[in-house]
This record gives sequence, C-alpha cells and structure tokens, in this order.
Amino acid sequence: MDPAMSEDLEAVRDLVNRFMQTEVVPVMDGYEKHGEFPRELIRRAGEAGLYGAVFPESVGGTNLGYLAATVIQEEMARNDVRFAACNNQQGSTCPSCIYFGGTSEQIKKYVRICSLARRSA
Amino acid sequence: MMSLTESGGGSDAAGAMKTFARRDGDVYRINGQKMFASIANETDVGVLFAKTDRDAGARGITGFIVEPKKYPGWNAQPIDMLGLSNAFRTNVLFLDDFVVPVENRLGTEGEGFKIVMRALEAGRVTVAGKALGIARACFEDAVRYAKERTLRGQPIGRFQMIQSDIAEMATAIEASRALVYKAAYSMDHSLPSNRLGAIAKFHASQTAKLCADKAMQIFGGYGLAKEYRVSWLKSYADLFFTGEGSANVQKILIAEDALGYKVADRHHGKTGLRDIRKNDVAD
Repeated sequence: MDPAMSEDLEAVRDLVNRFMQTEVVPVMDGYEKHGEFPRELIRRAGEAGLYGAVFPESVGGTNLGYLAATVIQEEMARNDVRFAACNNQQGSTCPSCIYFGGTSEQIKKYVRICSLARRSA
Repeated sequence: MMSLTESGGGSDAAGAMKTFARRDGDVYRINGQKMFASIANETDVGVLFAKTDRDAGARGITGFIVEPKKYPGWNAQPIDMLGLSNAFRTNVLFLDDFVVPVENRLGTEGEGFKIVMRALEAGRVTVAGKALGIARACFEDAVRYAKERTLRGQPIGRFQMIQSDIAEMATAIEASRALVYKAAYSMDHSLPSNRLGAIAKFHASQTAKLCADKAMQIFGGYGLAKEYRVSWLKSYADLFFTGEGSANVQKILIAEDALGYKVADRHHGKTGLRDIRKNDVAD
C-alpha cells in the first residue's frame, strides 16, 4: 500500500496540477524573459494553499502534513521547477524557522504572511 | 527568504559566520555579507541568522525575522547563475547597520542554530520532493521525444540504447518515490525521520541528475537549446543536489549512523515536528 496514493493526496495532486497548468505554465516564460518577479502568481499559489501544508489552520496553513507538502512540491517542480524553486522560502525554511523558534505572536503574524503569501497579516 | 550561509560557509554555516548583530537599545544593527540569499532582492518578510556572540561558536548564532522593505541597510545584488531562473534570483546580500527591532528576534540570543537546523531537517524531504518532480519532468519529456523523433524511418524509442536510458530513468524514479514518501510519512507519524530524510534527499537528487543527463542525451543537440526545458532542468538538478544540505553532507550523516559514530535520529522525541508548537498557536 502506497500512502501517497490515497484519495486525499490524489486530490491535492490534481489541485496542484490544475493550478500550475492554468496559472503558471502559460505565463512563466514571459516572467523569465522580462526578469520579472511573479509576485501575483505567488500570492495566488498562497491563496490556493500550496505553501501552508505543514502548518495549522490557525496560522493560515492547511494542516495536511509533510507527505502532502512533498507531493505539492513534486507536482509543482514537475510542471515548472523555476516557479517551484521559491517554495522553500515561502512554505518551508522561512516559516518553519519562525514556527519552531518564534513566540506565538510572531508565529500568528509571520507564518500567516508566508503561507498565504501576503504582504501583511 | 531564509539567509544562513556566507562566503566560505556552506556546509560549515556556523563556523564561517561573520555577520554580526549588535544590540542598540530597542533594535539590533546587523553588519556583514550573506551569500546565495534566494529572492532577497524581493523579500517582504524573511529570516536571517547572525552572530550575537563571536566567541560562542554555533551557540553564538541568533535568528531574526527581517523586513527589508521597512528598515534601512539592506542591499541585495542578484548573482548570475547558469541555467537558473531570471525571475527568482539568488543574491549576495550586503548588510550595513540593517535594523531589526528586538521584538523580531527568534527565541533567545544563541538559539538560532538549533532553530535553523530543525527547520532544515523538516524541509529536506520537501526538497527531495522537488528533485523527484525534476526527474519526472525529464522522464516525461524524454519519453515524448523518443516517440516523436524518427531516425532511419522509425521513432528513436525503438532503439535499444534509448530504451536502456528510459528503463534506467523509470527504475530510479520509482525507487526515489518510495524513499521520499516513506520519509515524509514517517515525519507525519512522529517516527524517526532524520536518517530516512537524508537517504531520500540524497537518492532523489541523484535521480534528478541522472534523469536530466539521460534526457539531454535523448534530445541530442536540442537538449542544449533553451527552447527545451531539459536544457535548464539539468541546472536545477545540480541545484537540489548541492542546496539545502549537500549530497556529501547527507552521505556523512548516513555513513556515521551506519558505522555507529553518530546516530542520525539521536534527537528524535515522542513529539512529531508538526505537534511541537500546536498548543502555542491554537485559536
């Protein structure tokens, strides 16, 4: 039995693929050509829950866990690894440092900003 | 953005760190230079590590939540990287009395290294997931191309040399996939995962490099044309082989555990990573 083949995770996989195919893949070459940071695309990925899988819902996460986070990163990278390369800043190393080391006030404010890809809480 | 490494740092992030945060009333003023600070030129909120005690080694490192657009002293200069994104840049970062309010310090002074190691351990398996995604992208492109491209009247997929490459890619991907999911599953279930995570990251990033290389061979000269993504997927395979815990560091961790010199999961407790702060952030 493969734990990554559950129905829930297949739904996550489908969501990521749909997001990448409709929002990112058609426009990413344009951002590359102009050297423009795709801020709006990142915000939409945050809204779609692609960065918050390992954090509780109380701080803007989806609480799906590390297996889901791994599947999200896998599918994002498979579709366009250039866009996926910022996942670790947005959804892993940066918010995880705050989550593991911060006060509850810092976590509630800044993990939310990272996982929802907003400019302010 | 999360900035730890410095010139001369890398696998010795703590030993090589020279950036210093000086307490000045209600703020810290940070001076120094960071390397490979991803998207530091665009960051609204990030985390940065600096020494607050020069003589205390890893215990002299402190973490800070940084807001570069709000405070002065932050100068990020993008580095030209071979084959990597022109939209998401990595930077050399110059800090000149960069201001961080005291309330943005993470934990107490000296706790920074412990915090960043835990975050990197958690992130390793998702980096392995990205490497797996690269391997699959290379495989899918190579299979499609092998069926389309004809030589002497038949698709090149009919040639056994091409089939050999396709078979090697498929096998490596399935093995990586099993390792990566097992490591992630272990993390979700509070099982020891540090050793497994290192094995998964090492294997998946090797698989990404193998698949990028094979895909390029199958594409021939077109594999070097920027029009085809296999041309730059190879750079990303290299990036994730080296980045966030280099392959050699993973190998040391795996081997020292096997030899009994240092148990990889010696810090494993009953509380899983996801549960550590749960009660602190409940509504």
